[in-house]
Amino acid sequence: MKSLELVELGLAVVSALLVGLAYWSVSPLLSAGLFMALLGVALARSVGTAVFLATIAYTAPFAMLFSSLIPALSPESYTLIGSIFRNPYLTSPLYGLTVVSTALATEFLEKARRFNLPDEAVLHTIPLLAVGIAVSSVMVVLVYSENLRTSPLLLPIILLSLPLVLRTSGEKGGKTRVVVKCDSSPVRIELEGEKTELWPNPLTKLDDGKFRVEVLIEKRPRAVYCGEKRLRKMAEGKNGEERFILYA
Amino acid sequence: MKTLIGYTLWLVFLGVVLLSPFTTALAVLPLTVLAIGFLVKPPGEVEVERTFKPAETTAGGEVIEEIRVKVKEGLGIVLLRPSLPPGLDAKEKTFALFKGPGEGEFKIRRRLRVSSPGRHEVPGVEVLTANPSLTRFNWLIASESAELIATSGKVPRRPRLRTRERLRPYSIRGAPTIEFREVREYRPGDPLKVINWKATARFGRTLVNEFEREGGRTVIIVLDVKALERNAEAFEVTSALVSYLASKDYTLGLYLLGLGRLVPPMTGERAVRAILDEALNSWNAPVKVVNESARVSSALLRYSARPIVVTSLSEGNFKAVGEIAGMKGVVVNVLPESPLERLESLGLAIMLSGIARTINWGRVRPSKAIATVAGEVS
Repeated sequence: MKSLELVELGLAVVSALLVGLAYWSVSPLLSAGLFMALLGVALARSVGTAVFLATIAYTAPFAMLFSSLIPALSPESYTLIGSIFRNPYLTSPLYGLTVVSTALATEFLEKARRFNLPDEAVLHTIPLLAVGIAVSSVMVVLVYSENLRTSPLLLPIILLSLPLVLRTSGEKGGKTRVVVKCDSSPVRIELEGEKTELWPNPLTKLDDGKFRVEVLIEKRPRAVYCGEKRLRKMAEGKNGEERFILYA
Repeated sequence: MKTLIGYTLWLVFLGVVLLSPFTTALAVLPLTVLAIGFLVKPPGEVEVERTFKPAETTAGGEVIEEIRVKVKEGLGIVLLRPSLPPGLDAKEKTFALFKGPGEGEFKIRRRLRVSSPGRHEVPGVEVLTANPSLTRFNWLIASESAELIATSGKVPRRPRLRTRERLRPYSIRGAPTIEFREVREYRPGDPLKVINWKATARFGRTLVNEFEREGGRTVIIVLDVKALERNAEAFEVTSALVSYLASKDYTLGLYLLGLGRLVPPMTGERAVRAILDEALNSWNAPVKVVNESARVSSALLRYSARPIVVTSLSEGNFKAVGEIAGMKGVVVNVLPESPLERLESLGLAIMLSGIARTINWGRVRPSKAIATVAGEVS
């Protein structure tokens, strides 16, 4: 097992343990059951799913505590919530932050593993991840403070729209290089009102046995075919003024 | 990113359903991480330069590849995939780098094994970049293709391929018509009824009557793989010729000169696919077979076909091309890039024009050249 996978499993164990301890005051049996179930999901399915479920299970009592609906529907639930919140593993901000940080770190590590990133590259990204967690924690405190409490719904939307606006405003026109990975079948590129058919050049055969066909066009293609098979867009990017789209 | 959005939606949903503004406010946490991730631009403006030391080697040897990477903007991870063509191999397939703030310059070295001779064109490097939170990605091809020349020397011999010499029925393509074509020598497989007894008695050797056959003319494209040295233009010429002739109902075959491979004549889309597939798949195969004129002649006689020789004329192949083209053939001469070699090739083409029609590819418009070739073999 690779080191990244081990770290991920470790994170899953930590979050499952914290969830188990948080529910200990309700019922030790429920607590052990939750721990075992989360661990089972982590081993049998995926660590990401297990941590996601653990985080949801951890935040559920908070939603109940601050809810205006639950006391109105069932006043007896206060007794249950009261017993949950006697547990220091739920009331201490340290454990709460640990669960959230674990969730964010797992999400990141899963992606790093999918892209086969080496351990050194992952280590370099930790400072930014830490900044992200710290800033987001400050944001939560700010939102919970009296001044901003009335607009908690608007803030997340403003937060996300800012980078999205910045990103889309940076888009400029330019030529598009369509890169197609295909077997020896002809490549058909459909543009608006015209079709281009290309035969793979033997010099572009790659070590994976496929051919790389490249063509520079003015606009984005409508569809790309390898023989009769329609190809999916796999990746896209820009280098200077030139836009690249990979179909495979 | 999907998980972060999942957390956000879950918290918003829970907050709205349970009328709990604080729970909704918790959604700020994953959203802030997502927003910070989106704010950081992934590395871009990437320049990659590939060099080989030495730039020329022998097949079976090793070269050191040096990859210089320059990243001008962005912050995060740079994943490089310097692909290799068949015939070259390396242990390390991908490289991951981390680009900090400011301009980044990196130098990577790896050892390449060269297993086949020829001019290997190494394609541009695929680059995938991501910001540190892995929320924004950029994919691009960063360099122009580079070239590595490997001369033959230490390559293990390939087993010689043998063309099938079994007897074939006399009519390989369409049925014979009543239109007389010529009198020729008897060949094994010819039926007795086509023997011209009078001519046989007069000349003292067995002669047969040949009649025109139904269907389009048969053409075998003789692709001189050895002389073309993996010239991409020659492949384009071949594909253009094949597509054009197939659309005019010609029966088409392919002979790979230098490899001894034959694609028997066939018609339509099937012919286009079979010929171009064979040409593509054998493009980088080591050239071994020598003195193939007799083999090509045999294939041309067997299928009653006319040859179109796609070659790059030089002193080395002039004789062989002349022998093949002499069988009512046409020569398409793909001119080399070097001015001296080009001049030599043009001179040889003039000499060859006494034996067969020779078209210098690149000197006239491609459409006109193809029409001329088709006109010659019709």
